[in-house]
Order: sequence, then structure tokens, then C-alpha cells
Amino acid sequence: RIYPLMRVTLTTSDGASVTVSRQLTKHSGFIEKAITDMAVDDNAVPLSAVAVDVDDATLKLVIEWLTEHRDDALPYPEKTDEERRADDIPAWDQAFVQKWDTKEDQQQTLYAVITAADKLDIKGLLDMTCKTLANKINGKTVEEMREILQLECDFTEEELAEIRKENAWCEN
Amino acid sequence: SNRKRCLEDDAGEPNEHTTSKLTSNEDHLSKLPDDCIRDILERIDHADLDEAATLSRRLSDLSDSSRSKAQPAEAERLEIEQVPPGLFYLLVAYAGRKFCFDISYDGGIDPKLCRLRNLNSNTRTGNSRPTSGNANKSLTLLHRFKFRSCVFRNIIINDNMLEFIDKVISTSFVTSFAIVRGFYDVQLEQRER
Repeated sequence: RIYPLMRVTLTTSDGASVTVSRQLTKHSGFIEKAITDMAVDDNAVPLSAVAVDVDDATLKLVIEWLTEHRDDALPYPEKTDEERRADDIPAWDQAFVQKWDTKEDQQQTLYAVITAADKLDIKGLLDMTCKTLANKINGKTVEEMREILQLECDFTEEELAEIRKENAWCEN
Repeated sequence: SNRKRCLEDDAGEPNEHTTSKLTSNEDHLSKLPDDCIRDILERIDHADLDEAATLSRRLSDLSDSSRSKAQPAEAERLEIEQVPPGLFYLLVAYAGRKFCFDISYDGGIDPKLCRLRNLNSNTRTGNSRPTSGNANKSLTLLHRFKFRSCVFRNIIINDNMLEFIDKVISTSFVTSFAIVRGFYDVQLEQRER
């Protein structure tokens, strides 16, 4: 049973702490588990102590999203075998992630939130941010993808040629 | 947190956290677990997965395992021709172009893709390539399509044919089908379960 007025204090990796309503934290599988399993004192959950490296700025964004989504149905629907899609992000969420999309940021915020959503087990937020990243690389060239994902190539020239040959079968 | 980071930078003692933000060869993706990256890759199409597969070793492996969930491209037609003994031509008509998978199968062992032919007139001559070592990987190229129609030619319904369908067709892109004439549809449907 969740008591709506119950408050939970979260401590981030950089020492900041924030107190939020359990109405928000119930969407995080990790925090719920921490509260129930670990019998934390005064409902204070030190995120860093349990290998969840979430910084203050990222946690603020997570809480902003949770606040908007506090009434989302739980449990979050399981993944089905249906085709995955990425074109169904709600308008509020789209505007929310749009704000991070600056030249200086270079997806750093997006990755930080994806990582936090994964670690904190917030399925709705993870889904939405993964869709956002999928949309970013959708239809892009390899160079553009490399730029967005900031990935270094660890293939040899020969290996790369082989993969291209395998995949270029239907090109003119 | 910014303030803290600045102090550390000034002191010239970057901790692990600061280095990860500053070093250019540290990519964002390496911190994400496989499941998470697969979730992203499953939402892009096969053409994008081709590109993603050339990014890095990890992305290559993850792209492969994301194929089954990625959106299949809708192809106009699949023609299956049986060339006894033990050879099948799978002709794919897609976006006005045609390709043929020559697959050998004579029971028991796994189907083997012998050749992939590009049948478009405007392409260079001799654009058929024998497939080498990675034949079964090439066979998964079929998985990127779903077909609006399917035509059979020269088909002899025997055990070999049924097993071929079982191994190559039903497991990839056809959820159910039937040959309209005669009693074969019954056999095929049973075969599928």
C-alpha cells in the first residue's frame, strides 16, 4: 500500500539530496525496492550507495518527468512481440526532451537521463528516451550516427569492407 | 555539481567522473547496458541497422540481434521456385527491384545460401556474388522483408519442400500461408504448428 503523503529523500552521487512524494517514486522500481527491501531509515534512499550514479542535475529532470507522469498506470505495460515503434511520444515529453537539444549538450543530457531511467528502473521514462534516441539516428548516414552516438570505430578496414559487402546486397 | 567539478579541474586531479566527461574517445553508449541499446536499435529499420552495424563491434552484434524486432520492409512479392534436386530460388521483388536468393537444401542439414543475385537491368553486369563463409548470416537478409504476395513455381510437395518451408519460410516472414489448390494447404498448416 502506498501512502500518498509519504515522502522519500534521495541523495545523489554529488551529495545533493531532494525530498519527493512517494506518488512519484512509486514509478521507480529501484526506489520502491530500496524502500521495501532495505528498510531504509526515514525513507532516505542514498542513490550513490547502491551503485546508482545519478547526479543532481539529472535527478531534477527525472523528478520533473515523474511529476508530469505521476498518474501513469502501474505496472507499466510489458513489452509485447509487436513491432517496436518510436513515433508515439506524447507532446509534453517531446517538448521536455527538446529543451536538451543544444549544440553544446551533444546528447549528454539525453544519455544521462537514459542511464538514470535504466538504473532507477523507471520504465516509462526509459521507453520514451530510447524512442527519442532512435528517432535521432533514424534515417541517418553512418557518419551522422557516429556523430550522434560519439562512437569510435574499432573495426579494421578489412572487417568493415566485409560488413559493408554483406549489407550492400540490394543497393544499385 | 558544476562548482564541484570546477574545483577538481583546478586542482588538476580529475576523478573518474570528470575524465569520462572530458575524454573524447569515451562514448556515451559504452555506459548503457546491451538491453538498453537493443531497445533503441529495435526501433529503427533494417536499412538503418545496416549503417549501425558498421559503427563498432558492439553495435554490429547488437544490430544483428535487433533484426527480428525491427520493422520489416514491405516487399511486393516473393516467388519460390524449386529446382530439383535440392535447390530453391527465392525471388524478392522490392521497391521496383528484384533479387534472387539461391538456396540449397536437401534435407537434414541447414539450408545454405549459395548465391545472391541482383537482377536489376540497370546494374553492373555480373552483380551476382557467391556468398562465402557467412552464408547463414546472409540468409537472415530475408528477415528484413514482409511480402504482400507469394507465388510458387514448379513446386513439388515432398518432404524436402515441406522441411524447407519449415526452416526458411515459416520462421522468418510468413506467419501463415496456404497453397490454394488441392489438399496441400492442410499439410502445410499442420506443418507450421
